[in-house]
Amino acid sequence: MPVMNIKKFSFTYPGVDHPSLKSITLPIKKNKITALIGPSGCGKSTLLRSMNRIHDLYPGNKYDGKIELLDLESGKYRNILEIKKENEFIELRQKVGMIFQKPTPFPMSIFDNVAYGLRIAGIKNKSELSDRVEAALKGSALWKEVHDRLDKSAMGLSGGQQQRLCIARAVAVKPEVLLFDEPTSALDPISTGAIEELIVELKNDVSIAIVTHNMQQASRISDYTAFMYLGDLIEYDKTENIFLNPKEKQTEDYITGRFG
Amino acid sequence: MVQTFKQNLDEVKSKITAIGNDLVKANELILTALKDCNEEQFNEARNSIKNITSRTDEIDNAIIKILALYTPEARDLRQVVAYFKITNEIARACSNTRSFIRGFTAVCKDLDVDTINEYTVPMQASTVKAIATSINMINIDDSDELQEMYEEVLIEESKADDLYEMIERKLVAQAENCSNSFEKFHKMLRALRKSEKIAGRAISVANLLVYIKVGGSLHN
Repeated sequence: MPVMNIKKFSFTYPGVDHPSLKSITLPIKKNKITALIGPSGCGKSTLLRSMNRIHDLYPGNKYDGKIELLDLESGKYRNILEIKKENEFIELRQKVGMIFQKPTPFPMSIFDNVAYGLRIAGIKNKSELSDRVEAALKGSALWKEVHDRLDKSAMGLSGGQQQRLCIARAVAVKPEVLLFDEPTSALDPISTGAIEELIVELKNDVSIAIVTHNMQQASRISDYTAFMYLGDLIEYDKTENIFLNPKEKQTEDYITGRFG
Repeated sequence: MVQTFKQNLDEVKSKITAIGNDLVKANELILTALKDCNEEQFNEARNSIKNITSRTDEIDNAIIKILALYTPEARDLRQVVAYFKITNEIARACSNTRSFIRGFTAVCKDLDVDTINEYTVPMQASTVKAIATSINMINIDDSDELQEMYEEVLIEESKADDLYEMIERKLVAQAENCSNSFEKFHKMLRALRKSEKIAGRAISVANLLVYIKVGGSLHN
């Protein structure tokens, strides 16, 4: 059962005539990793950012279609494009967390970074906060490295550690979906390996969508892959089918580097 | 490399070990069947490598999937490539085993195998040892132990080779005295040649396993 159903979704940026996404239909399956691949400008990041409506931080975008998020308690889908109230947006972004290309730690302590979302969610109890921060840092494979300096600034961590801290911050609020927008493009191979391992681990608890320009990364870690081009979804299938026997010539040309 | 790569590769490794062990079992059965041309045991040997083709196809496809999804490098790449070739070597050794059984059983009742048993039995014993040792090498990590086993494979193959030459001389001499059975002697020799070839494949397998460990260039 998909945790998120994108149905005939189109998106147009303000002041632009043509849509950046054209009638995209795509499931994000539960406890699976879905990779979005395609050349720059194909709309994959736009699609990812639409999944928790982060674009709404800037006004004037035009939507069409549906992005349905499964409510795990009721088992019913809700169209997130209908969300209008501020508190509903906060709730949505707790359920659908996002990790960006560059690590974005807040200029505060390691502990406070992870506790940030929890405090917004209304958790004030110190011992509960402590437990949740520890669990999130353990879940993000960072606990061993930082447990003795939780009060130190997050800005002193390495790039790879900062990215894992951002993952811990997102994981702490127990999201249903995590969106990764090129999470390792600014990291060295060792940190990239650690993040990839972490993403594969995380899928036991959350459903994941990841945008990546790294074909190997998509093939290594994802269960499903969607290839996009010029705002269209060209092909979506199990990752092994996409990388072994793609149905569309455009997909094959892209993953073999013969595009253009 | 992510954990899933290791899991997939371990699965391939255990499947290769399984078909390798079946090849060893078939050749062990041949070893006991040789002495008295025991048809039942020859059939059992044939049955133990019955579905090898579909199993090697399965391994090949799993390896192609690994290459497509994980684009391995360095030792990981050597390992995947070596496993691909080892699977092929085992498949061909199984084919040699089948040809041996077919050729040997076709003529062994008509010829006096007792006269050559003193060579065929130790030759097949060396073949079994060579192939068993090379298959066991798949799960050895220690470099020294691997090298030791590799040398053992070389020795057993060399023994099988020498013994085959002795059988050849013996059978040719017998054929000269019994010209009406020349074709049967020829068939017997061709069958026994397969056993020697199986030992040769054991060396190829061992070479590939050493290649995984030390790298360098592939050579047959």
